[in-house]
Amino acid sequence: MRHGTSLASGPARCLVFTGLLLLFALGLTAACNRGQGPEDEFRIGLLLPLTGTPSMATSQRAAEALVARVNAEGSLALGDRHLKVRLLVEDTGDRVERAMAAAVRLIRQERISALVGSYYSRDALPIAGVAELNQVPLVSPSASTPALTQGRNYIFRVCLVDTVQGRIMARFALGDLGLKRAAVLYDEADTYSSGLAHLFCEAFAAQGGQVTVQEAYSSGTTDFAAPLARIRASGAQVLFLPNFPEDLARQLAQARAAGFSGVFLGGDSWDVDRRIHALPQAQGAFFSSDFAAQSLRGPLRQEAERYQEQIGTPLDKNAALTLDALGVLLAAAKSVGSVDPVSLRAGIASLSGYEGFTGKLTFAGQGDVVRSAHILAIEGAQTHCRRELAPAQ
Amino acid sequence: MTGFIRKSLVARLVSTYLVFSLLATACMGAATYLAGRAFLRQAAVERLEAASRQKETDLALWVEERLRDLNFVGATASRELSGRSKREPHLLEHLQDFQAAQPDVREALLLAPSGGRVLLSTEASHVGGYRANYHFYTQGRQGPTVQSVYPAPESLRPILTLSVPVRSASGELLGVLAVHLSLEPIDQIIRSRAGLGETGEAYLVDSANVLVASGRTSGPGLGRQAHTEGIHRALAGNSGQGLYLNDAGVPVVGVYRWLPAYQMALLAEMSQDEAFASAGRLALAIVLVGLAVAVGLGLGAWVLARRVAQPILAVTRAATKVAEGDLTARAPVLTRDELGNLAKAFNAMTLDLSDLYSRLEQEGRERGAILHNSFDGIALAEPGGALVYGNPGLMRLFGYSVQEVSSLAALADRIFTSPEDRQSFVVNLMADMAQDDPPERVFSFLHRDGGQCWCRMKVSRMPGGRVVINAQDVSALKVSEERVRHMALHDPLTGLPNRQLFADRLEQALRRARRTTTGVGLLYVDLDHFKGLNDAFGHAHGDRVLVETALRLHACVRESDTVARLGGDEFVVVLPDLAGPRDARAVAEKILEALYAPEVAEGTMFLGASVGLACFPEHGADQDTLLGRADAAMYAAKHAGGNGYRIAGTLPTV
Repeated sequence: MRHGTSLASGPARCLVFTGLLLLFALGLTAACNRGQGPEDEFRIGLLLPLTGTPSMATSQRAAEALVARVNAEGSLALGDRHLKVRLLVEDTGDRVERAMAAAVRLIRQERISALVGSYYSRDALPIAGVAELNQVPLVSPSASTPALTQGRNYIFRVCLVDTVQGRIMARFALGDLGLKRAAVLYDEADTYSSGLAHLFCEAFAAQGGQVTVQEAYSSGTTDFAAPLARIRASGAQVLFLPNFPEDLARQLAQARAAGFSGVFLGGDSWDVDRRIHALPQAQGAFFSSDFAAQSLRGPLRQEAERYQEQIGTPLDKNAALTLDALGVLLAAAKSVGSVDPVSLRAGIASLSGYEGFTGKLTFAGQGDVVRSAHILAIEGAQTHCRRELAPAQ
Repeated sequence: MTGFIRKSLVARLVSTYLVFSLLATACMGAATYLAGRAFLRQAAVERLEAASRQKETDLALWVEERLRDLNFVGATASRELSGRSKREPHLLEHLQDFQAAQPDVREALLLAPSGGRVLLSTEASHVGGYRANYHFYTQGRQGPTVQSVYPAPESLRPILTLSVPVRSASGELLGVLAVHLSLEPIDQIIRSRAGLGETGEAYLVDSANVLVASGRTSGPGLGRQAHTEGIHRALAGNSGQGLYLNDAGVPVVGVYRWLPAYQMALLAEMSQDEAFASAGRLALAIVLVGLAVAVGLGLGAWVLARRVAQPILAVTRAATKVAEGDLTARAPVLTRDELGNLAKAFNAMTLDLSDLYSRLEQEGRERGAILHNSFDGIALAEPGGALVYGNPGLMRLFGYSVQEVSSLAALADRIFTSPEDRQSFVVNLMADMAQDDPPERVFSFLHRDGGQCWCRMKVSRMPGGRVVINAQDVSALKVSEERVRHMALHDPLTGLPNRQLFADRLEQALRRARRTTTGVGLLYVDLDHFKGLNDAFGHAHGDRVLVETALRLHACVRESDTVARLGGDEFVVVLPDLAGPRDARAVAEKILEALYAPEVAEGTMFLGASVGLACFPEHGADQDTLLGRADAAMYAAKHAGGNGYRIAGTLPTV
């Protein structure tokens, strides 16, 4: 009866097969990606104005080198979990619309846990709004406008605040240089430039100096002859230029051409592009900065050299601040044992004494970091640390 | 159920037919559905593509219209700003009018030619702010610009910004005029469902997955994130179509387009249920018709199967009866086809079987009768010796039935008295069973009635391992054989051994004497005057004398001695195991004394005898020499007057 058995079970098998065939044919399978970040990754967005600011590539390379190193050394250990760090880099093109779109995309679509950037106060401000609204911690390496962190809980920075920069440069001019009359030339369209200019003036006047004239110009201006003539005429001994390298190069040359013979002072924007330091007119100028490569000592110096080897160029200010911003995020994640954005925020706010390339960083519950500052002098086309100021100063 | 299908031919045929026809119906339905689906999918995609192209065109027209409006306001602004006295308040009114006329204009603003300062804005709080680093400003200084959708820094809602440069008649840049357009009006464009069917919808998603505009009245609202396969493909910069689940988890046919000019994805989708409904209906109709046909044909198959099965069942019934022993059973021949032939062949086979059976039965009966009536004993035994069958002949032969003696060993116990005989009987028969051609065994045994009988037995092996034992009663033969042998070796008158047996006995005595170094005595006795006595009293008297002589000679010798008659009145006596000639002499004297009785008693008369004596080894080493010497000695005694004896050796050898 073997034949009978196969006849009886054969059709049953055929029916099952046909059923499967029909199900398959209906094609009811459709995958749907919900855009959720993988559980085993620490996803960090990095917003950089790569287009238009070639020097930012150093910061990008430094950030990628750090992430590669963390992943190569066994990932980020959080308790018994090991998370790969994933860096998602977006070019803002130095345009607000693009930066906004990129930030929203990173936060909402890529589900990042934290954002590093942007570097300029002008686009960092609107992005901070996005990050705050979505409760994603943002650590800006170099946006220094005071408004950035005010009234916000999720926004942090590792650089000096403009109020501090204005104050220490005013004190340096009055105290160290003994110069009492100062003028400023600033880009009124740029948040950083106009903000720092006003803060310097306030501090200079408050400390007994005289601001002879405050000259404003708008982004895109190339001829500064008129305001510089007025500045020279005002008898200013010091000209404070809180502007970006493209404008600075013209302003320094045109100022000397206009007969200004006083001292040039600047803010941390002077450290964005080192070609400024090579200008003959820039020699003898001073500016405030977060980072002084020469003052690195011990293991930090060796670390900086390792990075230099890895990325093929010395760490500049923005690269150092980028590494510190990322370092702060990783340290915070370790301290709270989580990469959940809300926990991360708490971790950053309570971070104290983090040893970064740009100094010891403490947040003390605030968005603004408590940190030391440097005043650098340009001599012989190089920068030299003229003064290092502790946080209290 | 499965058991029933296995046992019933009709059920198997019908179920097999049904399974295959259902399979065919299912395949046909599936093929129809798939082909219809592919066709309908293509049709749906074409409809959706046409609709999405239309919507893209509508979108472009809307932007173009607003740009034209902006250019118009820009021309007005140019005139206002070129005037000798700048009439900014007047221009602001223009901007406000523009905004009022176009509800999609969220903000209209005039920016300084350099630095991006907001000179005028319908949003008063924005005046004095800077837009230096906005793309719409930097590009707007060059020419009309459409800034793709981005989240507004103030509201984080997606906006579209248009900007145009405002130039004087001489071409000097006087400012940049810009409008932020809210995207709600796109909703109006998108919502029109032309060509999208009942469930069709189209929507726009910005690069951050945010739903910018939607034709939906329900489901995820604007400003919400939406994730579908189509959206992801479009946001990756692709345009195309596919089947996937929409945001609400409904399977849809979708067409997606990436609009790089707006940095948005436009999607048009229609539920697969709607798109493929007619394919489903067609497939269902085909399956239903197929099922109906399958059921109808199934009935036909059932009828056919029954007709086919009936003759087979009839043959089966007949075969069952035959198997139960009824060889008269016949299968009805119901058809003329192969099944009819099967029935005929079956009947012929049954008939042959019946004949064969009868023949075998007759043969069996005959064989049984042969066995039963055989004079010989025939038994069937297992190789181990157990008796299985014994015929009446066997019972007659031994006096025991197989029920009484169940094995050869039991039989041996009954018919042999000595243990040695019993053992050798069993051992021999067991050895014979192992041979192909065993010898015949003849032995004597004790019959149940106490008589000593003789049996001749032979074992034959049978196919299958058993053996046949054939036993014959040879007692009568044995008796007759004995008588013949006695007649051949003895004198019929006196019963004494004749010359042949005498020669044999003498030879045996000589052989033993040589072995034991003893002696043998030979007496040659010849009656004196026997011829005269015979002539005087007749042959009958002579015969009585001879008989009497034999008895007297016997009385003179030992049991082991041999007295023989050589012929006429000549007798010889062999004395084996003799210590010496002296003993022989004593016997000779004893004989002379016994044979001399001249008185007549019962007609017997002995007138003496002459005796010659020869001894081994003294008088000869062989039979002839001894007999010759004894004969010679007897003649010597006869010559000396008879009634005396002479010893060989005292005479010279002849």
